[in-house]
Amino acid sequence: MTPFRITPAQAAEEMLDFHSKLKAGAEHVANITDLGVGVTPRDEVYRENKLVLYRYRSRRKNSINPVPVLIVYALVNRPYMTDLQQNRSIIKGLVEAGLVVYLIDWGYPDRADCGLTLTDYINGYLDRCVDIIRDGHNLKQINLLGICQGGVFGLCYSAIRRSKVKNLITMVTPVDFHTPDNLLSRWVRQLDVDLLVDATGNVPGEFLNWIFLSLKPFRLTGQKYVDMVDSLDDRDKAETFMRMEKWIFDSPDQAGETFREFVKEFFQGNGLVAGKIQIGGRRVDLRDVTIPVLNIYAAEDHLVPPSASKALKQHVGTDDYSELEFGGGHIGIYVSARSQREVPAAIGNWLDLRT
Amino acid sequence: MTNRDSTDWTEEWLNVQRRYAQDWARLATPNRTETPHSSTSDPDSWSEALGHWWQLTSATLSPSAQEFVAKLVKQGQSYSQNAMGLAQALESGKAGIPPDWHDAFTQVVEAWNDAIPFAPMSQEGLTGANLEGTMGDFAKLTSERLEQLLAVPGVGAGRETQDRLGELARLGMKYQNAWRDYVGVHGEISKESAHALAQALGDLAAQGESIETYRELYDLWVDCCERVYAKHVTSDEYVGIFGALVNSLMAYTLHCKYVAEPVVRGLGLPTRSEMETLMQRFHTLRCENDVIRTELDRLGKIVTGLQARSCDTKPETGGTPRKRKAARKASLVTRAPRKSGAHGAKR
Repeated sequence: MTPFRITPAQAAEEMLDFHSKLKAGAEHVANITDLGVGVTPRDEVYRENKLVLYRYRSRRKNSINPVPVLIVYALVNRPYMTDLQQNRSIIKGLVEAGLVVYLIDWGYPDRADCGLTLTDYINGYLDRCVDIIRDGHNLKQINLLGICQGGVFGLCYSAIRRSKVKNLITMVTPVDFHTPDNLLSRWVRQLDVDLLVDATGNVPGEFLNWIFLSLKPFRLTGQKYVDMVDSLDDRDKAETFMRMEKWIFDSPDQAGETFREFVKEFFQGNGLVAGKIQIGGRRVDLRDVTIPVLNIYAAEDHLVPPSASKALKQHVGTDDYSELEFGGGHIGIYVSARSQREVPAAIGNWLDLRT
Repeated sequence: MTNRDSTDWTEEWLNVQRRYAQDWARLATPNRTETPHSSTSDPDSWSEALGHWWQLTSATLSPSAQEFVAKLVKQGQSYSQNAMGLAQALESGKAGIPPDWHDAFTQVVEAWNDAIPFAPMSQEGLTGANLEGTMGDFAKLTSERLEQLLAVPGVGAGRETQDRLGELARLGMKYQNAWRDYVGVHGEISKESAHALAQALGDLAAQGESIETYRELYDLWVDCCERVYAKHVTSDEYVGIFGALVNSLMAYTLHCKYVAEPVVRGLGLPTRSEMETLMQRFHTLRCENDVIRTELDRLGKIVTGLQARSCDTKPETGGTPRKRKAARKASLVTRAPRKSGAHGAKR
């Protein structure tokens, strides 16, 4: 017995429906003229080379929580994912939860930045941003929120500059890079990173995009677009999709020396859990992270598997360690409707209890 | 020439497709008659129609929208071709011959593989893997001879150039071999995916379930492909092949720049090596500046603190000349440092 129950008439009808939706979708897409991203008003506080430090404005006269939060995003993608549009903005949620929110925009490195190292980013740029916020608020410590690779930066910083950090939140942050289900880590295991960086200088963003798409090529290069046709006749959904597309392929080049260090020492050497990372001449030992930590991870994350994030629990030195599992993927944790309801409130409540 | 907008053309195209659907329905009836639209039996007619529509409407979109919709149209064309192809293959059963549905959807699956923009998953990779058995020995022999030839050192005034070009050719061959291995793996994945889909469909049939729409079939195929793909790409063999591919490409890329350097230098243009030297020195200077700036900030804070303390203890206006002299000396020590000249002040 054949499992097919598709008649020619049904197939033709399905095609007609598909083409009608495609036509309607094309009309909506044609009318999208401005894909603005970043909706929460903000002010530039500090600028250094390509880096810009922003503070987000709140409609409240006084914030509920006086200790500001500095969001440290990854170098790999652009941070406007956290403030994509009105109904998909983690930053907006954090501001409405009564927090004072700052964000580091690392910018787009060019060849002049190829010599930047992890020490420059963590012990240099990040440290100066923290000092500016501390001085501006007359505080000894601030809160850090690190996202993905930014969470790794946050952990390293909290280990070597713990006197300046009050609480640390990590989101979808890899800690143990050698868990069995970490496909990305397996792929780069036999990569000659020195050769790659020597050949390219800064590692092109397109190269990283290709690798990320290769993790699930059928879904990410095919099915995603077929799925989208079903939603394109809704203008709002069409705009959301186009913004996501903009972000996915808006990948800065990676400063060569930073990429070299990060891949060799973290991905290949798994140095973070082994205590072998050196930043600014100081050894990073996760046991030195004795401040409260909230570790948020995505249950269906194919880029940073939950096991890679949850490993933090057994390595970090704090007695106040909390976990929050979000039932989505690596990107859904910022942009899904559910994440807007759950994540900012959870972060706000957790910080309020520790202020 | 009338000025008709794309909406009119779109409506006309949809009307044509409705007539095609009606003809399809007539074809499916037992006492059907021949229709003038014989091209509806051609699986490409739908995708051709979509292509014509796209040609008409694409000019009205912005470049970024064009790129996005072009991807959707390509998916739509593939979808159309495969739906019609599948329907045709199934229809052959209605002539009284039981349809071999396994062959039917295997054809469809292989056509789908071509539609995926992920290049290594193409039929080309599959073909390459098949040919390796017959061409492999010859290719290997040729490759070995060529390697020997390229390993011969250069002679004469141009020996440096000969060596560079020989190394470039050798690295190019190495990259081609790595690429062939990479494509070969993806060819295997393609073949195995088709079998996985057959298995999945067999399981559905055994459970008494069925595929009701073409979309369900497509989604099932994607699931099967991702499963097979994940199985292969997590293997040590694939990790080695992937590493070899990237490493060989980077080695070739790096050597290309090395070959180009004498030419660039000869033209009086800055070379990559020179730029890298400059970047390294620039970075070193930047690091030194950061250290100096941090130290200056620290010293500035100390000076500010000392100034604040000295303001709290004001010098006496009366007293002995020795006391007045001591007070003046103290005020001189706490005065703000003069700004240094151009070398120190500028950053």
